[in-house]
Amino acid sequence: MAAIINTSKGCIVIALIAIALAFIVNALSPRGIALVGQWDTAKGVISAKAKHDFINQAREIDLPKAQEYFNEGVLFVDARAAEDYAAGHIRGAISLPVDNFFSVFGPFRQAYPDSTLIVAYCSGRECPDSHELAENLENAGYVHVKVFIDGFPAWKSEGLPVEN
Amino acid sequence: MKTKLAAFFGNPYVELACRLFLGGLFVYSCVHKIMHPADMAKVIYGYKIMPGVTINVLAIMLPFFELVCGLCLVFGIWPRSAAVLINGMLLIFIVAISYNLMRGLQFDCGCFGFHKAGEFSDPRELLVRDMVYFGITLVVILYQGTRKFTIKTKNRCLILNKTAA
Repeated sequence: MAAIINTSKGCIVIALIAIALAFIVNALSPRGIALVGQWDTAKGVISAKAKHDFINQAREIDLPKAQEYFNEGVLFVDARAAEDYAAGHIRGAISLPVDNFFSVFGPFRQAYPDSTLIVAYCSGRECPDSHELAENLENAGYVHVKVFIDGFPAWKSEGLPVEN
Repeated sequence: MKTKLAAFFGNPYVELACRLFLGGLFVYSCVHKIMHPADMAKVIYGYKIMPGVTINVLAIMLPFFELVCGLCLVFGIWPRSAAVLINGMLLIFIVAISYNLMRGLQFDCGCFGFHKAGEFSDPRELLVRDMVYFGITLVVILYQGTRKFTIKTKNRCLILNKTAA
């Protein structure tokens, strides 16, 4: 019985130390996250809401708006890996893989002025890559960048124009 | 056979080896989770079990439970209590992995690193691994003798001032 009580006391002390340490470090760390994140895909792209989060819901557009932009001839950029782009992408979209952004960005920068309206997309509301690409583009000087949150899978399943 | 097994698991060096292995493992496994809490939160989201409001709090706390328990095991501070907490965490992981295995959901376990998008863990391998770790925690919890290399003097813990629980 004494062993159980001692073990339980130890568990409580360890748990309290761990909890205190966790919240102190999270509050002080530049990589800390909010106490409640955005994990509802109905509201947009999911995010832990870190202190320096590149996800900005103000950029987000859904499928009907993306379709409207597409019909107006707006430039679409694909944030996914090059092999995913090669397997299929929104018709006319340009590949700007976010993992390889700085090595492919040069020619894009020269071809399109800062004022170009750009729609970035990746593979849906659980994919943050389109937001990261949008952030990179904004940092490079582009001022009209949107994120199509439903991404390529939703576009394809709606039977909208795609190409390989 | 039974006596041989009892003698093996009653051996203080076997207990010490289990404690150092588990402690080291949990300290190692928490580092990337502490460094990248947002990725950790996404891994918890990927299990599709916990309600959204709990995900961030779990992502903040869980790695520090691993860290503190791991250090307690390595340094022999409340080793049984630390092993009980690790045992509880492993039980939760085993239930979560089994649940996702049953419903065929693909996920990244996030155990010793974070996968890239589209890469997933093999749940069967994870289950076997966690069950082995679970067995090792039992060795530490059920050990009855005097433990080797704990922070204590003459079987009395410096911190609790009583035999290390």
